[in-house]
Amino acid sequence: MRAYKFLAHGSSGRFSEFSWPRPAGAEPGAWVAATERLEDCRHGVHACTPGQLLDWIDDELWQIELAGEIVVRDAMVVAERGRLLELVVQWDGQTAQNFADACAWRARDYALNSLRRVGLTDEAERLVSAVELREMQTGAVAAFERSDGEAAELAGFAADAVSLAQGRRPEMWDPARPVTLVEPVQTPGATAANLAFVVAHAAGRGAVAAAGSETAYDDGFAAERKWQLAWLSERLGLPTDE
Amino acid sequence: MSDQPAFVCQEIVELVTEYLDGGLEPSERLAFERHVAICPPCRGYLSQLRRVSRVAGGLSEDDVPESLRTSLLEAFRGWKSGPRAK
Repeated sequence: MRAYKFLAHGSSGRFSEFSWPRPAGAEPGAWVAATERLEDCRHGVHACTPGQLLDWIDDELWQIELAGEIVVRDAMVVAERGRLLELVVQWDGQTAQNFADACAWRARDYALNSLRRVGLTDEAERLVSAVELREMQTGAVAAFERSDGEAAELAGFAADAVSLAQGRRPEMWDPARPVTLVEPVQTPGATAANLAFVVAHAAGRGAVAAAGSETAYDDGFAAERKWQLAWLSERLGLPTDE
Repeated sequence: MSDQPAFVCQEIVELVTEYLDGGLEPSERLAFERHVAICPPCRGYLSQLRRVSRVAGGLSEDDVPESLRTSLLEAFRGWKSGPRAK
């Protein structure tokens, strides 16, 4: 079975810290085999299908070949053996940052929908007209200060999203504060993983506000994850498994 | 919402030792890792704790110089008998 595997820089497992043998030229990397019976998050080679990528975003994305016993779970695939086939070169620091930025703009969209819903059209238009993230953040902060309830929550998420996209803490809305305040400096992969989840949560909250029911959260969250996955699949040239 | 457990950062801090010792239930391990995957500060925390564990795990009691051992014990005793910090 062919699948995908995110790894930290240096081709090491985020959780296992295992250093994966890389392919050499056209030759796949060496096979890596589980030494004990397969167990989720503990024993076995862990990978994911294209549809499961969003939960495990990291610095490097590899195509991996799985063999032996293979168990497909909701969130991952666990196999008896695996070997790295090829680095997905389209996923690099720049693409991760582009993805994070795209997610931040999605947070803007959820905020402006909410502002329109509650009648704050001037604040919404200011968000619409923003062409750069920092400009959007300034508008989101202003909207946050002039609103309350759902609109304030979603405008706050939009402002947070810009900070997060820049590797800052979410509440650091002041663009004059240096990025170096964040320690340790996180990779674009970590930023992308984080921001994508935060924006999906904002989408869930927006869906709750629009429907007036907490049960709408899951659909809103899932719809945003679907959009994010489509973005990744298109940019990385990945198949979809849905 | 999902039926699976979802952790916040504070719970990750509380559970990290159990996670590293392999003491979490499968569903908790998955929830732990899903949180760490999308939370840069928790990624950093887990990584730092692993480094500390590796370094400290290589030490034995004999590796601590006698003078340092004595001063540490005095400090611990003083801390225990001293006024409680507020």
